[in-house]
Order: sequence, then structure tokens, then C-alpha cells
Amino acid sequence: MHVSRIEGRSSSTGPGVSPIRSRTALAPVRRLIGAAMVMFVAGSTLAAQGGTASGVVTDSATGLPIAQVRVVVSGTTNGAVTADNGRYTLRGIAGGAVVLEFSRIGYKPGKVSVSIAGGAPAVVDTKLAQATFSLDAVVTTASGLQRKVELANSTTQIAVASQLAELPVSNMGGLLSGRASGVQVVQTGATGTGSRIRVRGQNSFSLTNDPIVIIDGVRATSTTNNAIGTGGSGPSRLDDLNPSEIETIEIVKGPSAATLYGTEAANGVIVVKTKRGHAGSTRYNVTAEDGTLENSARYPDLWSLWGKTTASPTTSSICLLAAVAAKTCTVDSLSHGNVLNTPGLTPISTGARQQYSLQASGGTDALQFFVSGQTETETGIYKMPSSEITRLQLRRGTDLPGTQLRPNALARNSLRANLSARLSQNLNIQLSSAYINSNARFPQNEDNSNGLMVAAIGGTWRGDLADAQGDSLHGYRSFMMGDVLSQTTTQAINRFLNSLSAQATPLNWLALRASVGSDYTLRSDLFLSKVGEGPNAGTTRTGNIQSTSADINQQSVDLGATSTFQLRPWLGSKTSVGMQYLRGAFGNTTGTGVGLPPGGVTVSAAATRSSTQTYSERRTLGYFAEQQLAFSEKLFITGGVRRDAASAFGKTFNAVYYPKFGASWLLSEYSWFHRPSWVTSLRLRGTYGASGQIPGATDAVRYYSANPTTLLSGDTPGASLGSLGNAKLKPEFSAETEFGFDLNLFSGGSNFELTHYDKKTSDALISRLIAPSLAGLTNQFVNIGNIQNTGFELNYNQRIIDRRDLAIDFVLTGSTNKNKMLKLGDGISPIASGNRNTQRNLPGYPLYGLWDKTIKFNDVNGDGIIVLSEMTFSDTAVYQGTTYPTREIAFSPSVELFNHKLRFTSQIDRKWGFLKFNNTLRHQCMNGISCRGRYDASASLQQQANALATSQSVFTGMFEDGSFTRWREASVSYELPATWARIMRAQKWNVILTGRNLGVSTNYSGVDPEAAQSNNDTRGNEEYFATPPVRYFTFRFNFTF
Amino acid sequence: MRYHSIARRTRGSVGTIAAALFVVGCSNKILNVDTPDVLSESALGGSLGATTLRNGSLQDFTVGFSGTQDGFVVSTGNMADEIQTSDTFADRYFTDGRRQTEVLGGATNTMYNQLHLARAGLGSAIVAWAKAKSATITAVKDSLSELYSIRGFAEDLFAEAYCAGVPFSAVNPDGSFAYGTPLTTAQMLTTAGATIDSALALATGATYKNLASVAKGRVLLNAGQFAAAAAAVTAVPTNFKYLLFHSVATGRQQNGIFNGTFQSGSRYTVGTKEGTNGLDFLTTPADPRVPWTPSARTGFDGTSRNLPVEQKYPAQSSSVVLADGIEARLIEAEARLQGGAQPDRDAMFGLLNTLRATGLATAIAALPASPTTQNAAVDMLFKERAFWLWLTGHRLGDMRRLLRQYSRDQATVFPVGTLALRPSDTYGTDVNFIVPFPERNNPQFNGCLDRKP
Repeated sequence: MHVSRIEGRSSSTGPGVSPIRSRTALAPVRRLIGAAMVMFVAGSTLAAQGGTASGVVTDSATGLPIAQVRVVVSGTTNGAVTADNGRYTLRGIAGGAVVLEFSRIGYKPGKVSVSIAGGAPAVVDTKLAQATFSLDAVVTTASGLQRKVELANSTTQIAVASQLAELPVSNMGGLLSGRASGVQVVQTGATGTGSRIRVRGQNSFSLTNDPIVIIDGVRATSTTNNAIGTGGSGPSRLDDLNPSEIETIEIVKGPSAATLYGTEAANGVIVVKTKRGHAGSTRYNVTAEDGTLENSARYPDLWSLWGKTTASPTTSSICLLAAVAAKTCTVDSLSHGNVLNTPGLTPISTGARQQYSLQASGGTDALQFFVSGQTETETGIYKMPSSEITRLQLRRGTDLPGTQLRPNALARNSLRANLSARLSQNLNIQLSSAYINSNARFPQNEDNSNGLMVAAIGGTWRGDLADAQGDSLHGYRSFMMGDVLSQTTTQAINRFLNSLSAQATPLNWLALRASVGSDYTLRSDLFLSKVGEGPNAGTTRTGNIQSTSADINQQSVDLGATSTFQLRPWLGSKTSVGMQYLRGAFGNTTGTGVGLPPGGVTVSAAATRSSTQTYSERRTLGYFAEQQLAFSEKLFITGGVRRDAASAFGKTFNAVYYPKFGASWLLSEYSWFHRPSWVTSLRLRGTYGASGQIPGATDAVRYYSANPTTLLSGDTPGASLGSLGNAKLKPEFSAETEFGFDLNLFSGGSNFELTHYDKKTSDALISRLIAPSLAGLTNQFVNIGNIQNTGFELNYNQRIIDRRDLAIDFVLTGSTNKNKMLKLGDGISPIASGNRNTQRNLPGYPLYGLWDKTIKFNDVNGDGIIVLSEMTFSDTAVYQGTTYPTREIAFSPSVELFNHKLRFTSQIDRKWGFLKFNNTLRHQCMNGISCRGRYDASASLQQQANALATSQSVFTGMFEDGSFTRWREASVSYELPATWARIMRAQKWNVILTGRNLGVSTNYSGVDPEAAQSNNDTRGNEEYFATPPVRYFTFRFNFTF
Repeated sequence: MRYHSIARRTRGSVGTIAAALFVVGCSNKILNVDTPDVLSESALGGSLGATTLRNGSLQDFTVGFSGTQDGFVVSTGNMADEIQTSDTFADRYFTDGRRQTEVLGGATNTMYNQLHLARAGLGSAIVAWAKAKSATITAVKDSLSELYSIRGFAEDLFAEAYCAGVPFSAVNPDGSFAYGTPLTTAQMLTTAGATIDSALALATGATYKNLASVAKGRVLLNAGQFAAAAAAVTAVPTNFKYLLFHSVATGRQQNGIFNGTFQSGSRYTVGTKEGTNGLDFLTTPADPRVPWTPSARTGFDGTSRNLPVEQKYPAQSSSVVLADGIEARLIEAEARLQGGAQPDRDAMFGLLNTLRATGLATAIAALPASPTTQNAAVDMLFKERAFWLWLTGHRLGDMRRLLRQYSRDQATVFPVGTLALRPSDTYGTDVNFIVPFPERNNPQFNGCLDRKP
């Protein structure tokens, strides 16, 4: 066999590649190969059956073997992946001269030419050099694995496994925050609550803006807004995932890239690949983590002004500034304070966190495994105040249960087993199975009059009040904190994620793939307020219970085929077709009981019981075709189309077609391009693509709702019109154009990726207002809106120093977003949203923008107090600003010392260009009434005017600049000396100290610019008695055996 | 390197595409899903379906009238002097403070939407009932009469509570919209009267005749046709009651007056002498027609404390009177008052005392003396109406009638000054509800025609 070796060919071989040997080759075999070549040229349809190539891939710098290197016969789909020992074997290679391509994230790609014969295998050992960035990185797309250079859109890949080793995170929100430009994560603070994740803005007004999630090829439940009746934020199903089980996350940002993912992908796709085992001896990884949580926010004081009024001249009572100005109150004193700063009264404390995990992986060439188990517990920052513990213990004559002492907690266990098997030369399968069990406990909070923070800072600042039971409130609003925290809300999750994927290469030019899987979640929610416990509101103290059992089922089938041809020396072709079937079903049964006996903790024990049951299901069937042409491996042109039909579309609407077209142009590889020596590569890319968003299961249907009726004879069935439906209902259609370039400098030391996107959602599904006089219904889903998101995205990676003893690099991500509603059907009135109708949605303005009347004031009499007669308001509400950050940037530096054994990493992020509705302050000024501007004459006139305006339901003064800069995270990781590790019988021992949410700089006057009432779009940027991001400190041991 | 021919490439590509298309070929059945949460129109055809629609629309009216916590009784009582809000939401305290705006939303919209849901649903139920049931059966006719009566009530309540300009629109069978034009108060009453005439024509049983008669009397009274109103209710016995029933089964079926005013932390409370002009409803000892008790109850706002508790509806299952013989007698008394002479006032006085003697199981002490002036007589009559009909959704209509039919000034009838439970707010000048902003999606509608009483 003849072996050819190519080194340093700039056009096709990376400079870091150095094939160290290509051996074998006997002359007879060479002749056979020659004969095979003759047969091919003669147009034989028989593909060569048989050569084999094998070898070891090692790191050119360290000499260590590299696992997970993708080795592919150029121009075909025949490939393999290196094992832990760096070994690979490629079989079924057509005889003759072929080129083997080597690629792996973090390494410069390589190519090696070799002649293959049917006899002895060719041995091709290769070294790869590390590179910060590589256009040959392999990414997952809807049509299979592709090299980054072939894609016309920007891609973001997060190497979770390697990042988590240095920077542990506890949930997916923390994992995604600041890692990718254009991906905004708003993290809520309470333990167990989820983050709001938005990719390239908000596309949809009436439908979800959550990205979809695909785990190991299977669609997974990922709703981030699972409020469970606690007043606002709730858990995210995305956070059920255990980050330490994840190998990589790829974020497909917009419709231009997500076209082939079809309807529902318009908000982006998060593609998760879990870890896989590698051939070799079994490797164990054990981690143990312990940490604390603490409140990082400062809560503004409540105020009151005391004086003698003309109506009550002998008793001091609370006076508003208006009364002082009107001289109907003679001031005695001004007081302010906050129960949150009072040790015996505050419900804020320090939380704790523990996490333990064991992972094992290994296997043979034929079968590899990865198994993982993890258990974690986290206790949030809220606790029963000590004074309340004493009070309630005395009253009940017994100790309080832990669920009431610490009302916010999470316990989660996750198990995963992944198997990969090579069943035959041309058939690989992967079996993934995961089980997640969690129990979370939440206090009533946020927009809930029975909530924790409302009780703490929602009332008036006075100490002379008692609750309805005669207990002194000590500054609490209406209910004693202990009664508020005696309500228990829990959610238990049992979730099963299973998938089976297979890849086959029956023919040299044809690759088939299939994935089948399901994500089944059984959710149990329970609200319980025992008899004699809880706040004295409604029937609560008679004993209330609500028990919900919900099952959420996602099933998906994904089939695809890709044919790859080298049509000409300069022209390659890749044709892909695929089919996806998705079924999403949600069932829910709720039992409610009022009036519990002592000890009664079930619905069955309640005196009055009722129940509800709901079920909804959606099915989508889509298929796609994609054609890619590669011109001299420098210009890649891709076109494709996807067709979707869905059960949720209207009767008269059959299917939607989503086209895509794009080009990736490796400009720097042309001889005419005078590339300076410091330019490693320059790629231009541009693409157009479309995707959609699906209506709700019954949005298209005209239906009646079953409503029970009470007549003289008793309760009886009844029905009323529930929805007008819309037979023409179709999906939202989001089309996006994206242009950008990737510039790699100084041999990979610097990498810039700049992207501009312009995304237009047409036929936006709007729950439009209809005249109530038609039928008493207020909304109907129609395709009437156009919504636009435009912006720039920047990824800048810089390696400053790269030596064994010192390495310094940083990542800078940033993005802009401009959101605007372009159209809202003729005759459709602007749609109000947000709390207190503070948002308007109308053409020319961003979705969920804040609107209200402008405030003008003039202290006419110069008494230093603004009264209503000195204020004027605009006649109508005017636009004040967007609620979605229009600019964000994240800076993530890292420093490595002592041969990479000591590593410092950090992240600082900044979001700006938006307004935040300080609804807590609005409540305190309007309802509490306890804000400084209503009482303190030394407050600025602006502050007084803003506060007073709330009495007229004008909230403009409560819209504040929400800009902030946050020191998001910092971590120190140190690999202890090997002798220490050996004491523990480990190969490697790392200790990692991590801090999150370490500090914030902002002009926002509220609790925290990221404290959010909930994680939906209408109220996700509104502070309303919300928990701010909590500060974490964790200490972790990592052992590798 | 191997280079494939175009033909071979095409064969390969087409083959794989064809295989995928084959799978897709059976797409229709795989997309069929069940929607058990909802009832299709086809499921509600036939006699049983008509009965179900009838029940549903009657309940819709009940919800709009005395259900939720923002039904007609509570909301109109809030604007009037029966109820005050102890809530933190502007939609409720702007109503209480008589300074509504279109865009308030929330509770302001609830009553409007629910009454239209009932009005439109009753219309559909009437059609379905007439189509599916035998017109010769007496019970069928009575039920149809009942549907007409309740629809007439719904139309009348719009006239009583809202500004001029409420449209009565409809959805055509093909799903297209038939937008109604804004109606004046008189036109709404005319529409209601015509609907109730249909009820009267169909009614055979006493209950249904009496229901339609009181409805007709109420509409005519609102229209200022006092004699006709009295004539309409003459045959209604004093002990007649038509009740709207509630139960604890679901929130929708619960008594919203109880939910809104009775419990601790509720958003409303009954009041007395609200804004200077309000009647002294809460007397000690309590008038048996206005049962109440003091309490340490706190309002939803956390600042309203020691709120009184009404005892007329002491449970979530308490039923509510929509029409009764007492109202019939009060209509007759008011008709008699229109004579304007002392004998008329004396006659009215006599009728009111007769009612005090017979209206309840235990007689109420008689009124001390016949009024000697017409104004005093009007005051007496409307106070008696207010007490007899407390928390039954009559008071706002009566206060408006005092302005419209008796030339009183809103500043002497409606609450004025500072809101007792919100000292930082003062009363405005509204005497009726504004049509909520969403109605502007009706191209025929451009806001209230006027805000006159």
C-alpha cells in the first residue's frame, strides 16, 4: 500500500497537524488500489468495500491522547470518534487515495492523505494542536453533525463538561448566563425557581418566548414559567436537568438557523448533549460540594409621619404630606424602619447547599457507558423569625415542622445511564436514560397579599396595630409572619427522559440517523394550610388544601438521511432529508378542600371538596430537505425547506413551509486574498431562514366550556361559550436574515465573531381584544401582528498569554436588541398588558413597553411639599421605554498558573437600555402607604411627585432605569499535588471555591434590578416583592479515580 | 477521490427523499387529537344540549349578577353607597370613588363582560331551546319564558349601571361579527322591555309570570313609566321570590357577595353613611333588612380594619333574590307617589308600612309619620327601597333615578368628599359605569354617548 503524507498544506491542513507516521503498504496492495481506482473511474456503482485505517490522536503540546476527536473520510459520512486513549478505527473505507479529516472542539483541525487498500489497515497517527477556536468544530444541526465552517449562521457551543469542572453551577440558568451573546438570562432568587431565558429578544406577544430544548436528539419539556400559585415565580423544567451530566450545549439562536427544527423553534433551540463513555478503563469522578446562600440586597425602609390632625387633635396619627401642606396636621415625628432589619422579626436568613455526585464511564470499542448519580439539597434564605417560632410554639403547644421553619428548600436526585454501542461496522446506537426526582418547597410571595414580602414590607410603618387575632403586628402588614409561613406549598417531580438514537452508514455515501424518545414528567403540587394555621384571610384558617397531579408527556421521533458526494474535485454535495413527529400532552387533576379537621392533611379530610381535570394535546409532523454544496471547501451554500402540519392549526390551514438559504465563505483561503500573516482565517456568512411558533391546543377551535350550574334542584351540568375559535389559525411565521463574519487572528489567539440579525415575525398570533358586546368574550386568537427584532452580537475571545506557567485569556460577549411591533391588524385597539396595565402593545413600539402619563410639578407656594394641585399629567399615556434590556455584555476572564493547576475565572455582566417597573415602590406609595415620598418633606420634589402620582394611578415615577453591572461569578480552582491525590487513592484532586452574584452596581432604587415578579414576559421585568438574586459561596472537591 | 455522476447523485437523493415522503404520506390521522377539555358545538345539539346551554346561560347571568366578587350587586353597590372597597386595585377604588376611566380593566371589565356573556348566551339558548323542544309543552314554554325574562334583566341591568352607549352586538352563526350600535339608556330599556314581553307571552306558571312581571315593572320604573310599572306588578304576590342559587361546589357557583365582603382580607366591605350622603345602613341594633355585625376583620389592603360584616349572605351558598313581591309593592308605592298630593303620599306611606308589617316573618316597626312634602316622601320611599333591596343590585339604579326622575343633584345623592378607607383619595362625579376600553374594538363604538344619569 502506498501511503502519502501531506504536511503543512495551508489550504487543507492546519498548521498544527503533524502526521507522525503513516505506515503499511505493500506493493501488491498498491496495485489492487490502483485497480480499484480504475473501476471507480469507469463508473462502477460498486463502492469499495473494505479498507481500514486506525491510529492514535495526541496533543501536539502535551503528547497526551485526545478523546472525542472526530475522524472522517473526507467527502463521506464514514467516521469515528477517538476513545479515551486517543485511538480510533475507521472501517469500510473505499480503496484508493483518501483524505482523513480530524476535528475536535478546542483543537485545530487536521487532514491526512492516505492510500487505502483492502488488506492490512493503514495506521495514521496524528498530532493536533490546541486552538482557541476552530471553524472545523463539529456542531449538531437538525440534519446531523456538521462542521462550523459549513454553517451559514453563527453558532454558540458551550463546553459544559470542561467549564463545570472549573466553575460549578447549580442550575441551567447559571450555566447559560453570560456564555452566549444574544442569550439573556434573568435569574430569580428563590431556591427552586427558574430563570427566564430569551434568545434574540421577544418574538411573540401571546405565545411563549421560551426556546425549545432538545436533549440527546429528543424534544424535552422546558417551560420556564411554571407558577404554582405562590404569587409569582415558579420552577423551570429546564432546571430539572443536572448540569454535570451535560457534555455540550449548542444554542441555535434564530429562525435562520432553526428552520429545520420547524414550528416552535422561532425562539431558538437549546441542543443538549449529555456525556458519553469512552473506550478504556473505567474512570470515576466523585464530587462533594458544600455552600451557603445569603441575601445580597438592601431593602428600602418604610416611612410614616405622625402628627395631630384637626379631626384627631389629641391622638397622634399618621399624616400624609398633603395634610401637612393643607395645615390639617401638626407634625410630631417622622419615623422609618423595616422589619427585615430587625433580627427577631426578619424572615431572611442564611441558606445552605450540599451536592454529591458520582460519575463513572468507560467501556470497550464496541460498548461504552456513562453512569451518573447526584443528590443535592438547598435551603433558601427564608426562615421563620425567632419571635414567631416562640409565639406559635406557645400557641400550638408543639414544635413547628421543618417545612414551616424553612419554607424554601429543594432536594433533587438525578440518575443517568448512557450507553453507546457499535452494533456493526455501519451501525451505532446510543441509549440514554435519565431519572430525576425533586421536592421543592416555596413560600407564598411576590404578588400575593398572603405573601412573605408583602407581610414584611407591604404595610404601613407603625407598631400599634394588631391582626384579627389580636396579635401585635410589630410592623408586619396584616398577618403575622409566622402565619404567612405556616402555609406550605410543595412540588414533587418524577421525571423520566429516555431516548434511543441510531446512526447507520449502509452505503459509503449515505448516512441514516434516527432518534426516538420521550420525556415524561409526573408533577405533584400541594398547598396546605392546616386548620387554625395560616393568615386570617378568607377561609384559610379553617384549613385549606389543594392537591394537583399533572403529567407532562413529550414524545418525539426524528428520522434523517444524508447523502454525501464529491461531485467534482472542487464541488462537494450533501443532501439531507428528515422527518420529525412531536407529541406533547398535558393532563392535570386538581382536588381542592376547605375546612380541615385537626390533623387533616388530605383533600378527602376536607368538609368541602371540589376537583378539576384538564387535558390538552398537540401533535406536529414535519419533514425537511436540505441541499448543501461545498465549493473547494471554501464556499458553502445551503438551501432547504421544512413543511409542518399540526393539530393546533385551524381547520382550513393545512401546512406551513419554512425555507432557508445561506452561504458561508472562507474568504481567507483564496490566493487572491492578501492575508496578513497575523490573520489566521476570515469567514463571511449570511443566511435567511424561517421558523414558527405553534398556537395552543384549542386556540383554533370554537368551543363551549362545561360550567356547572346551581338551580333550585341543586348542581347540574351547564355550558357556556368558551372561545370563538378561528378556523384560519396558522402558526406564527418568523423569518430572519443574519450576516456576519468570523475573524481569527494570531494563530487562534484572537477570535472575533460579529453578527447582525433581523428577525421579523409575521402572522403573529395575537390574542386580540374583541368587543365584549359580541359574546362577552374578550379575546380571539388571530394572525394579525408583525414583530421585529434586530441587533448585533459579538463574541470576542482573546488568549493573552499561553504558557505552561501562566495563561491568561478572556471572553467578551455582547449583544444589542431592538424590538418593535410593526403591525397590529386594522381596527385593533392597542393591547394593554402588565400589572396595572402599565404596558401597551401597539405598532411602532416594543412589546411590553412601559406607558403612562407624564408628570409635571411645580412647588407653587414654595413650601417644599408637592400636592396634587401643583401637579399636571398628560392627557394620555405616552411611551416611556422598553422593559427588555437593549444592550448586554459579559466579560469572562481567566488566569491559569502553575501548569494550569491553579485557575481563576470570573464573569462580570452588564445589561442596560431598559426601564424597570418598581412595583414594590408603587405599592408602598399607593397602597401601603409607606414610601418616603408620601411622608418626608425632605424628600426631593421629584420623589414626592412620583409618589403622589400613584394616588392618581399614574405610575411613570415608578419606572426606573434598570441598568446594572453585576459581578456574576468568580471561581478559584486548584489541582492539589498528585501525592495528595494518591492519599485519597485518586488520580486527581481539585478543590474549587466559587462565588455567584457577588455584587451589583446600579442606580435602580429598588431591591435589585434583577428581582422579578415572575419569569414571564409581561411581569418578568417588574419588581414586586420579589426575591433578588441570592449570593452563593460553594466549596467543592473533585476526585478523579 | 471519487466523483459521482449526476445520475447517480440524483438517484440517491431522490431515493432518500422519497422514503421520507412515504412516511409523511400518512400524516392526517397522526395529527388527530382529542380535546376533552372543551365541548364542541356538535355535542350540544338536541334536547339535552339545549338544556345544557340553558343551564349554562342562566348560571352566566347568576355569575354576572351575584357571583365572582365583582358581580353586578357588589360593583354597583361599590359605586353607590352600599359597599366600599378595601382593596389595593384602582379598578375597584376608582369605582368606589366615582372616577372611572376606560382603561382601568380588571373588575371594571368583569361585570360588563359577564353580563354580555349572559345576554348573548341566553340568546343562543333561546334559539337552541325553541329548536330542540316541543313548543306545546307548558314546561317548555315556561322555561323559554324564564330565559327571556333573565335576558331582559341582563339588558335592563346595562341600562341601570352603564352610561349611554352600550352596544348589543352578536356573533353570526358563520362566526362573523354583527357589531351593535351604541344604545341610549332609553333604547336599552326598550330592548329589555321587548324581551320581557316575549317572556310574558310565553309564561303560564305563576313563578314565570311573576318573574316576567317584576322584570317588566323594573324596566318601566327605570323608564319613568310609573303607572305602567305598577300595573305590570299588580298580580305579583308579596311573598313571591325568584332566587339565584349559589353553591360551594366551584368558585363560579359561589355567592360573590359573600366572597367579596364577608371574609377577612376581602376586597369590599359594607358601609354606612358613605361620603356624607350615603344612607345609614348599619344601625345598632341592626335593621332586620340590613343584617350586619361588627368585627375585627381586615381588608385586602391591610389598612382597612375593624370592618363590619354583612349577614344577609352568610355563606358561599347563600341564594340571592333577583325579583320578589316586595319589589312589586315598592313599585306600586312609588307609582302612587307620582300623584304628588298628600293623599298620594299618605297612600305611599300606608303601602310602605303594610310592607313593613308583612314583608318579613317578624314585622318591622312602622314608619312614624307620613311625609308632608314630596321631597320627604321621595327620601322615605328611596330609603325604604334601599333597606328592603339592600345588596340586591338596585341601589345604583335608584340613585340615578333620583337624579334623572326626581331632579336631585349628584352631589347630594352620591358619596362626596374623602373616601373613608382611602383618606388620600376624594370622590369624583361619576354616576354610572363607563364602558370598558375593549369595547372600542367595535367599530361602531366610540365611547359613551354621555355620562348622564
